[in-house]
Amino acid sequence: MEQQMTSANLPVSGISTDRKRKSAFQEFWRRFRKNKLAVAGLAVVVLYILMAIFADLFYSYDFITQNQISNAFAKPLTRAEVDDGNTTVQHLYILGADNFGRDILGRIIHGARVSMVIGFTTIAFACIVGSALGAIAGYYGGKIESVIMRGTDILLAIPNILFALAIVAALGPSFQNLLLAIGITSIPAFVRLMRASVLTVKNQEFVEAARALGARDFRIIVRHIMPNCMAPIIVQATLGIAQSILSATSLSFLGLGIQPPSPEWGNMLSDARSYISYAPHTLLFPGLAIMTVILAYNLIGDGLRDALDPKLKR
Amino acid sequence: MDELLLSIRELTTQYITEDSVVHAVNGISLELKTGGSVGLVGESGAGKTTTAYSIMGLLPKLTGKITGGSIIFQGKDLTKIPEDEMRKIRGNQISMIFQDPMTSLNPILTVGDQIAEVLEIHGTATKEEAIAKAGDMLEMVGIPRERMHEYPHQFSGGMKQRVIIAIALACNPKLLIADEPTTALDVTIQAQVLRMIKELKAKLNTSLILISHNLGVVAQVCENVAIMYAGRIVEYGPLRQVFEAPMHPYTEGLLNSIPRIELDKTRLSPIRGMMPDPSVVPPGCIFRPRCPYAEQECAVRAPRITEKSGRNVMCLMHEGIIANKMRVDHA
Repeated sequence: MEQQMTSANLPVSGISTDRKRKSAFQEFWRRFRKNKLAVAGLAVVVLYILMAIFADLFYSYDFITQNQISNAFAKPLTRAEVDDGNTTVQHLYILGADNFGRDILGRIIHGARVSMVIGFTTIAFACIVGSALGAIAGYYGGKIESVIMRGTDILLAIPNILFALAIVAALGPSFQNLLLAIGITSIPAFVRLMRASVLTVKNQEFVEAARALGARDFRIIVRHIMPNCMAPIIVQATLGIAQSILSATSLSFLGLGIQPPSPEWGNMLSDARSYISYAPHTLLFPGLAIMTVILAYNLIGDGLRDALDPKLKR
Repeated sequence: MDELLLSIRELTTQYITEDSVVHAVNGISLELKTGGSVGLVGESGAGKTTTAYSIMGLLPKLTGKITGGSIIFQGKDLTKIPEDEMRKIRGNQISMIFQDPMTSLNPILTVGDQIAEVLEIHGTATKEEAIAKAGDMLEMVGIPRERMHEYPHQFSGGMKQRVIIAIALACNPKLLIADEPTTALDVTIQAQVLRMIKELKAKLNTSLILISHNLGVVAQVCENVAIMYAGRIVEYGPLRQVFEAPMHPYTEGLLNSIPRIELDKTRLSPIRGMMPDPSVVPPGCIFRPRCPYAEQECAVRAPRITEKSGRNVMCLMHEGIIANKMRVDHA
């Protein structure tokens, strides 16, 4: 009681420092954790990311690209002999084998690597370029804004997948071109979001105050405005990763993305669809992989949206 | 310590929009000595903040424009120097405190970082020195150094305003412009913050322009007071003299609208009418429509600044053109 009195008598020192310091992240995590579906989504994504990182520990790359014709269409959980270069070894096909006798689980795990890389790099690219353009458009306004926003509108007017198809068709199907195509089609969402947030933040008094301190435009944008606009961008990035993984698998399915024999979920589906009635498991598992990842990212995105929404703060 | 720090001459600032020209500041002149202080008092829309923004060079780029006059600060005309040079003066030699402490701090940077930032911008200190100085500044405004790692939302309104004062004074500016620094605070905190501004101003020998619509606030801090009306300084003089014996009818009206506990009055006497539309400037005296002493002459002839016993006033009564009917006689 006495202690409380003394602290109450100090007019300036408020509540102690350390307990409150990490509170912003803790508060966010507390609210994110409440959404069980989002946490489940996060767990799935983490699992896929770990799979992608440690893919080589489970299955060697050679093994899943090389043909084992004798084991073609092996059913899930069958054990069969495979030719490992010079010797033959017993191998358990957990999810079965495809039309060339390649292990489906192994291909899904290695395919996760491709999908995760595509998801992260394209969105990182789109997020950086889009946010920068959006911030410039929102901050400066006038002619610069018109040029950037009309350019964005033009990109938005063309259906994403068609635009990506056009880029890949023009530049040729390769991994880099696929990344570029998907990255470019993901930019407009970030430009619009960033511009909208900057418009609301730039008129706040602390921006004016920063100007009154003699800060340059660049510092004001990068240090004061953009960090205050991050919440919607983070949500969009999460949802965008799902979108770009889906675009990549679609392009691969159409034969314009990752080229066989590289394992990729889209071209696995494409290969397997001829055998849908004879060996449905060759189609089912890659399809499930795509579905769970997309669902997981969307659940995380929704969870983030709720957790970062300032209107729900108490 | 009597050198002139700031000298504003015939400053005219307008907001030019597509369909009208708003005459926000109409030829005001003001002088401020090193270490001196002046209060700008007036109703909303009198041009107080526009004057401050003109000095800082922070007028809205597309609409605001200084169309005449000069602002001489330490021998340089601030209306003529390029933006690059102006940026070096802002925050370094002239600082500004804004009205609302709740929104003038960046919510996602710690207060220490925000104080250190101004030092970094002006290159007066390395990163480590800036952080150390930020702690010193916090202590100077009565906040424990340890709290520099906290975020603005962890501070109360009065403490935020102190942080803002710390930021404004970090570079040891020659001139501090405080735009309604206490309007958003409750009265007890108001007094604290004002006392702090006054003490720090004396300690650092900073000159001060205090903008307020509250005569009481100005009375606590300033030596001189300038009463603004419709973009003009209608009366200027030493604070005590102006308050005790106002020469302009508007000043008198302002003083009459303050509730006073010692006078047994049940009703305050407000100034009737409204301030004129700043986009349409009528001929004659701008205060005439609201002036209890107005005569016909006032509608035609615009008053000029008359100097009388060390005070400036803008009224025909003091030019000897019409009879002085105010109760106090200054002859």
